[in-house]
Amino acid sequence: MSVLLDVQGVGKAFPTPDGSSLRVLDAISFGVGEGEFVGVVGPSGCGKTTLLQIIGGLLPPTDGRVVVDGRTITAPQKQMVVVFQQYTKSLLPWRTVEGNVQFALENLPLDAAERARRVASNLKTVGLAGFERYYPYQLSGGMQQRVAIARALAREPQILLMDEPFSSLDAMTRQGLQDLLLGLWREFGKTIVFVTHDIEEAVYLSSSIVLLRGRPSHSVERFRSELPYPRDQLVTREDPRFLRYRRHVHEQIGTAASNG
Amino acid sequence: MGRTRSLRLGGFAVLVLLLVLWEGASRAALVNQTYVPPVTRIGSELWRLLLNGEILHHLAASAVRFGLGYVIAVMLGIGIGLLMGYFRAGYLLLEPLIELLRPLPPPAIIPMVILFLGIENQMKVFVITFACFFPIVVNTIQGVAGVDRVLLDTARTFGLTTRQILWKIVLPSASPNIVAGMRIALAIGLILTVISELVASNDGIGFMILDMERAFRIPEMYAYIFTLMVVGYLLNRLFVIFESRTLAWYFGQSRRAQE
Repeated sequence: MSVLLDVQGVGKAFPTPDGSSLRVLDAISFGVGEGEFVGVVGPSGCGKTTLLQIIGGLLPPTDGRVVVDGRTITAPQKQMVVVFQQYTKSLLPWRTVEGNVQFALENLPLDAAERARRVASNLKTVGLAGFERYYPYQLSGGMQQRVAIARALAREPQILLMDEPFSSLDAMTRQGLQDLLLGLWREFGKTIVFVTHDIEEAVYLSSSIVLLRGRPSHSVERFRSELPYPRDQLVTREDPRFLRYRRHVHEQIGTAASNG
Repeated sequence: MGRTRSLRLGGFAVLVLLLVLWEGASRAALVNQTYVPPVTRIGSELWRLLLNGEILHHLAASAVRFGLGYVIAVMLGIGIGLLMGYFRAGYLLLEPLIELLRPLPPPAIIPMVILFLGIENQMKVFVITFACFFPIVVNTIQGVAGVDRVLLDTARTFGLTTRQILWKIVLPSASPNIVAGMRIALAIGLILTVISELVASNDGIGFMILDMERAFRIPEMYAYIFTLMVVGYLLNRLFVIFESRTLAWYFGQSRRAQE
């Protein structure tokens, strides 16, 4: 498998009010192959969001670089889209569901018919056909995040970068969206980098897992999951390999959390 | 519901009662009839001035000044507010100037403006614009500062240019604040229209109020004051309609948040 996205020794330090600097990420390296679903797991506050913003070209790294398709990232790229954790804040509240998906397409060179087609088909994909004229505030949290996913898909990106997209949803809704996402991934063959602190979620979804640990965070391990697809909320979660991965990740990260 | 309705009718009754008291007091000569003519007398003057077109003539003169001054202030206020709110350099460069000019009561600049622009419409429009500009610019800056980081990142991940971000994200996102500023400016604009006409003019509602008082045509003076009152009321109603149209999403969202 060829490496599509390569994170090479990425580090990030932020200036602090007292004039010194706080290092959040240190020497993070991992590669993502085309069509992989990579879960990046680390404890809360370990700089996962920062890492994803760097990968997405929204934030420059202090050292190291991110290479996509052989090019170093310095700005947001057309073939990548970030899906944010706070869906309530990432949707445009003054636009309808349809208008929000349309928003993602407005600066792509597409004709009106193709835009309309992409809006309709992606809303259908996430199960929101019939809600085109609703405003975000009229939808539940899960539905709002579906809009955000439809909007990201509408750009037909090669890579989806997802920042704990389901963490503020209730358990049932979250599982529904996890399965929706897995379905999309398998159907459209996207490459996904999914950042989360939820160990079970990472193990359930990912084909490969990257572990972050320490302060500043660094990547400690990367392994391929042998759990077969399609995955199932009951069967997969009872699979001995699922339990073993869960335990392993927990031990790796849990220790760091208690030390930190 | 029934209670609200009857109270609303009651509020209307208070108005009618006051007018009746006024009429009675004036007719019974409990107050100086010359200074406080009966309401019916004022009403018939108002009617006469409406029919012969005088009110319309002066209303149009005031409306042009107010309209021009207000619209220019809205455009400048929003434009400069966006620049100052979004670009740090813009803020740092213009903030001291704005903070110095803002506390100045706008009528204080009228004598100076007359020196440069004379006493015609240019002066009045300038003064109205000057006064309306500040609440709009300040509220716009505040609105821009409140635009959510995630929304801006979303726009960037979709590759929007700065110009597109300002137009498609920042402006609508700040619109509740901008509209609040425009509402304050509306009232201030009306005040400055009248003041500028009182200072120097030969037409306009504000001018006529003063002119009729000086000519001792007191019923007419009241007729013009009443006209101004109705105009102010209608302007506010119009603004409420404009507000509920442009901010429907915002009010819907706030209602939802309170449930």
